[in-house]
Amino acid sequence: MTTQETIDLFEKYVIGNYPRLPRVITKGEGCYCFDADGNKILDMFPGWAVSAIGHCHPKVVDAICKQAGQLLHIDNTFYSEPQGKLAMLLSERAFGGKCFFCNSGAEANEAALKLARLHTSPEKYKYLRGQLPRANFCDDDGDRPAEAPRRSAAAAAGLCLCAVQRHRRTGVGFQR
Amino acid sequence: MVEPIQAEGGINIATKEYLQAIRRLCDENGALVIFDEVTTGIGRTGKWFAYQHFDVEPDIMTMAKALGGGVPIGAMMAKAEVAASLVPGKHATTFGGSGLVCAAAVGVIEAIEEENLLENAVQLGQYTMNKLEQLKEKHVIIDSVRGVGLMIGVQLTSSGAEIADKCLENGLRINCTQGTVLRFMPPMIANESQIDQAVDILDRVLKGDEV
Repeated sequence: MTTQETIDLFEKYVIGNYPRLPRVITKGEGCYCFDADGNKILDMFPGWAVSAIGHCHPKVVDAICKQAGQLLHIDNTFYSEPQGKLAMLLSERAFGGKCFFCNSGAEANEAALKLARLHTSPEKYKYLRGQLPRANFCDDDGDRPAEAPRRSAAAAAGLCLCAVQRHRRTGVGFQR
Repeated sequence: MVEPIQAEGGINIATKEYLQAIRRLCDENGALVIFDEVTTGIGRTGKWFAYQHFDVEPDIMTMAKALGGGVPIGAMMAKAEVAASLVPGKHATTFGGSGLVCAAAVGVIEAIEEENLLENAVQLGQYTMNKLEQLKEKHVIIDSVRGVGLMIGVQLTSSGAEIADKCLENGLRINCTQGTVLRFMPPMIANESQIDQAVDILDRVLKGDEV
């Protein structure tokens, strides 16, 4: 397919919620990716921070191929070895916690907030306007200085506070 | 819930004091600290998790992006006493933790350790920061350079979107966020000559030269 043919498919069948660049990426290898017109691109932002050990790292490809021939998916009705092993590796490299696995950062944050709510108590759990996290929840409005007084007031009232801080540089708490 | 280093927000690095004050405030009020390490987690900053730079531990932490090396996986980790609240029936996912993505993630962790990629993230990150600092001396549009490991932002004094587009036309992909921050987030396997090439392309784009 040519670049234009692929773009035409998107125009017709894919919802236009991303401002895409007019290139079709067809291959990735290490620090480089390649487009359908044969251009080689030095990728210093691979996969929006996903491909952090480069595109198609051979050890990851190998692990995927081996597992694919063994068992692609089993639901959480059962135990499965890779999940247990991964949880151990992560726990040992962090603060010794226990893991819940999902499919994205948005879902991970959803689980985190849900757990926080369950562990404290629902009536003490506050969302602040404009501060709900990630695309699952919100208008992505970020952290606004105007919210600070409300946050302090809530904290003073002994509320379990969920202040979600991201997206905006507020001038408070950041290194210069 | 806080990102120790804001990612989409423009590579804004929290101070130790700020994160420690959050920890203290939450402890005093019976609240939990959640660190969003979706972008910072799994080595990019030179440590497995960014919070390890700040001497503050969260109660809950989230990760995704780099975890699967390219396959979709996210994870939430909680201290055992907090995790105990997530009992059967409270939360679930059909796909979560499937063999394929977990095997890939194990492969990522093994690759990082076998190839000393945390160390490379520290050294190459410093190298990249130095190169970009040198570029700052040549181009007034660069206001400052900030970063930890291979998570680096170049703060411009005016819009950066066209600069990122122009870099791509010249064979380099970087990203622009918040209008004026160019993000360099090189893969942890990169080497100095690739960084040189990237900074050279940016240099020429800023000069207005055709490459």
